[in-house]
Formats: sequence, structure tokens, C-alpha cells
Amino acid sequence: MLDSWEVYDFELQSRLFLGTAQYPSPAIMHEAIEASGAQVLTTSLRRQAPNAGGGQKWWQQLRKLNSQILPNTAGCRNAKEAVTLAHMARELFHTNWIKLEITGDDYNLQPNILELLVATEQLQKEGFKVFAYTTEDLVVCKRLRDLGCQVIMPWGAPIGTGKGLLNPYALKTLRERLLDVSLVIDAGIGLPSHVAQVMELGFDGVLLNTSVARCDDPAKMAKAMHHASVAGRLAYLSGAISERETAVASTPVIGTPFWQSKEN
Amino acid sequence: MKTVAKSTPRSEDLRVEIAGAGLLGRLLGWHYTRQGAQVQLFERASADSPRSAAHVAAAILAAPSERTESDALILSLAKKSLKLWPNWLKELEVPYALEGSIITAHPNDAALLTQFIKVMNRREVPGVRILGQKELTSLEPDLAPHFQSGVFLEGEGWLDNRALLQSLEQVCGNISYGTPVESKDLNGDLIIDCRGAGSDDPDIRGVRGEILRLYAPEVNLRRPIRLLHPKYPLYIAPRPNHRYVLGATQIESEYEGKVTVRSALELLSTAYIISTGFEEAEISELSSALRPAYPDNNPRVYWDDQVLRVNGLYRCGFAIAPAIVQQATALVEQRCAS
Repeated sequence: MLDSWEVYDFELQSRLFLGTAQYPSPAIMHEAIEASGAQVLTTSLRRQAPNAGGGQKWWQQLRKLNSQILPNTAGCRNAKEAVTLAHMARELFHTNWIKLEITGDDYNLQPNILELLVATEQLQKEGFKVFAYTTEDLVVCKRLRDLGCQVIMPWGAPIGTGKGLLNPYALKTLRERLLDVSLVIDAGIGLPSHVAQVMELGFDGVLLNTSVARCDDPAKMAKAMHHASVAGRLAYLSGAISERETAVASTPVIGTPFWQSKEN
Repeated sequence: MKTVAKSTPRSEDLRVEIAGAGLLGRLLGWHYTRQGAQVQLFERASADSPRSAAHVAAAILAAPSERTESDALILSLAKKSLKLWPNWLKELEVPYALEGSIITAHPNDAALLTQFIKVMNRREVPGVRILGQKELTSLEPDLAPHFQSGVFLEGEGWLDNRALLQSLEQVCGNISYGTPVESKDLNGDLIIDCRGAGSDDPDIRGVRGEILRLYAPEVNLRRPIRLLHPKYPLYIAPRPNHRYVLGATQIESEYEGKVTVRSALELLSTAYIISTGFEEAEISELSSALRPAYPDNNPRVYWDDQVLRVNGLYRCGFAIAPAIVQQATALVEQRCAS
């Protein structure tokens, strides 16, 4: 069994967060959620005309899944838009959780960290619990922590690329330096081996969407991602050996009787 | 109340009442009118401001290419429908073409095309022909030269949705516009509910789609072009006389307002990417509608007590409608026979 963990005093067993976009159908999305064991689902609302209640039916369906909903501000380009959307999300989902996602570049959808810091400061003051989607920049992550953000979500690679961890060195540093916040890798994951790597590095969780939703069999991939998260977390907890350059035989050769060597 | 179970659908005094005068309502109305029944359709929208998905749709007759987005059921329904459409469309004098379709992606999204081919192969969809740049431009000379590769799917095509709806209007029975009804208000011998996203079926949801229509005298595309896009596949579908329908966004929202700036920008840049000839095209229309969908995004045809419900054709309405009409009428025959 895995150890449980907490985000903003909410206890979780699963280490996966799942996005709710781009599945072939809601029914397949439900299967994938179940297979992943994810307890936190993130959903966007900017394009659904939240003012006019456009996405009501969709959101009602999500609420029925008995998962924790983490609304996100995908599609926002500055702090002002993100703050406005966070207010709407709080009313719609009756939650003060918000995944702050502010796009700074159209090509790689890199988060705009300058606007992110502005929005985080304001929303923390207003009592929101911010999950900040950011780059792997240590100084920015430290600043987010100092602003009271308890869940920081650095990217592994640009959204939807499936490239895995592009900068493991910086991510390792983040983990080593920020022990008092939850670190959840968000974006860029393509394969279960990437998830296992994230968890082996001691990250608290991983957020997935495209890798599950757009593969040929989302439920199967979700299950694979679940197993990878368990494997990676257990490996982290097991205190893995350190790499070395020369071989070490598991069985000492000296003293092995010669007739045994012969049989082998 | 006299029910269909006690009468025969071919009898001349059979009264068929249909809620919803979209594509299915009209096709079913046409079917029963031809059989001599008295058909009455009820439509919530007024005659001059149609709201049905069919009015707005790009009306691509896609079969294999939808296999990456939907399950095997849709492909088999689409294959059956492709056999039925030509005779129906000739009889109704509706422009259409089945010269194949092209799937491609902007060089920046080349990975999407690789994934498309991979999924088609995994799902064993036959007839996938991979094209290089030269073959692409020989099939469609107006396609922009930056497309390095694509896929050709034989037998797919398009039809003129508005010509079809108009033509069906003359032959599908009487349509009462501006008359929203519930199926329980109806009392025909045969009651059919195909109100699409306007249905009271709790499992139905509307998925917003936005399109634009262009008049582009400089562009001559004969086939539908599907541009793979990170969010949803976008199509450009030809119509007679250099007119094109470009669609459609796919947003999990039942908002029925006008097309947003962001969607219009996405659609317009798609047009521009497909062919620079669209640069000076006229934008003749921007429209939106709701596609009706069940949770598995597959259609349903079933008896709800005395009401035959036909709904949930989602993004493949035109591609699968004939097969769905056959399913619906077969259910009626079955009930009559029992």
C-alpha cells in the first residue's frame, strides 16, 4: 500500500491528478478515471461561457464522479483574466482550489511566471488555495512558496508533447530545495516510465491528460500510469542504491568452491 | 389513443407526429410521407432562424476518417450510409461528391498525423493511403505547399446540407415552425422524438460547434480537407460555386450564443493554413449550434413507451443518418409485426 499525502489538508491516496479534456467520449473518460485511481480531476472553464452557464451539464457530470474537482484557468493570458476566472470557478464548483495556469507563449504554452506571481499573491490573500503551474525555475518556485502556495506544479515538458522530463537536473534541485511544499509535475508526460521517474525523484504527484486521453486505449494507459506511480513511489520510499561505475558481484567469488563454478 | 402497435405504418390514414425538424426529423418524415402517411413535424425554431445542428454542419460524409475519433459502430453505420446516400441525394436533387477526403496537418503538428496513421493501423481501418507533398498537390492543386504529407481516404465526401434540408422540406410532410413540443404532447399513431440537443432525455448533452462559411472565388478544392489540430480536427468542406464550410470547434458547453473571437480566429487561421487563396475570401457567415451526444458519443434508437426516440448523432450526423433512419423504421416495423 502507498503512503497517503495531503494537499491543502485534503488527504489523498492516489499520486495522480487527471485532466478531463480530449477524451473520445465522456464514457471513456469515466473508465480512464476509474482505472487511474485519480482522486483529483482538473477541468477548464474559460471556453465554456461560464457566465452564461454554458458548461453546466458537463460540470454536473464531473461532480457526480465523487472526485475532488480542481478548476483551472487554462486559456488565460494575464493575472486579471485568471483572477476573474478563479472567482467564477469558486462559485461554480464551491471550492477555493484553483490551478493557476497563465499562458505566456502560444507555441510552447510556457507559463507566464510574472503574471502567475501577481495572480498567486492576490488569490492567496483572498483565501484561495493555489496550485501554481510554472516552469522548473527554482527562484520562481521559492517565491511561490513564500507567497503561501503549498502546491507547486512545475512542467516536465511543454503541454501535450509527451517528451517526459526535459530538465531532470533542475527538477531534482527543486525537490531537494523545496521540502515543505507539495511538488506535482504537470505537463509533458507521455509514458508510464516518465511517471515512474517523477515519483522516483521524490515528487509528490503527477498530473496527466493528453498521454491518457489521446492514446488509443485511455483506460489501459490510465491503469499503466497508476501502476507506474505506485512503482515509482515505492522505489523512492525504498531508498534506492546509488549508481557506481564498477561492478559489484552480488555473490562473492573468493571462497566459492571450485566444483560449484564448474556446475554453473 | 391509437398506437402504432395496433395499426400498420403503411396505411394511408396513419398519422405520424415528429418532434424536431432537423436532419432526422425530415428524413423520417420523408420516409413515412412516401409510404402514404400523414406526417406532421414540430420545430421549436422559427423558419427564418434555424437552430438545428444539421443547418450549421459541414456535412462531411466521413467513414474511415472518423474511426480515430469514434468507435467501430460509427464506422459500420457510416459505411452503410455511404451506400444509401447517392440514390437519396439524386432523388432529392442535392449536390454532393464522393471523391475521397484528405487528412493533413500543419508541419508544426506533424506528430498528430503520425498518431492518426498509427491509430488507423492499430484499428485496422482499410484504405488508408499515405501521400507525399507531390501527390497532395496533384490531388488538390490549391492546397498550400507547406503540407509535406497527408492521408487520402477513398469514398468519403460531402453533401450540401442546406440544399438537402430545403429539398426535404418539400417532401417530408407539414412542418410547424416556432412550435416547441414535448413528446408527451403528441398523439399521432406513431410518435417520433428527434429533437437533438433540445431533447428532455437526461442523458443527452449538447456539445457546442462553431463554423464559418466562406466565398472564395480563387480557391478550387474538390474534397473535404481535415486539418488535424491539437484540440479537435477541423474540416473545410466544399460547396458548389467556390463556397466552403469550415468547422467545427468542439466545446463541452451548451451555450448557444454567437461565435467567439477566439473560435473565429482558430477557424480563420485554419482556412489560411489550408490555402493562401482564402486570404481574400469573403466571410459569408459565422454560426454555432449544439451537437446532441450521449455519454459514449454513440447514437441511440429506442422505444420509450409509445415514443420512438432517435438521438445522439453527435459529430457524424450526415455520415450516419441513412443507417439510423433504417434502424428506426425497422424498429417500427418490428413493433407492428409483433
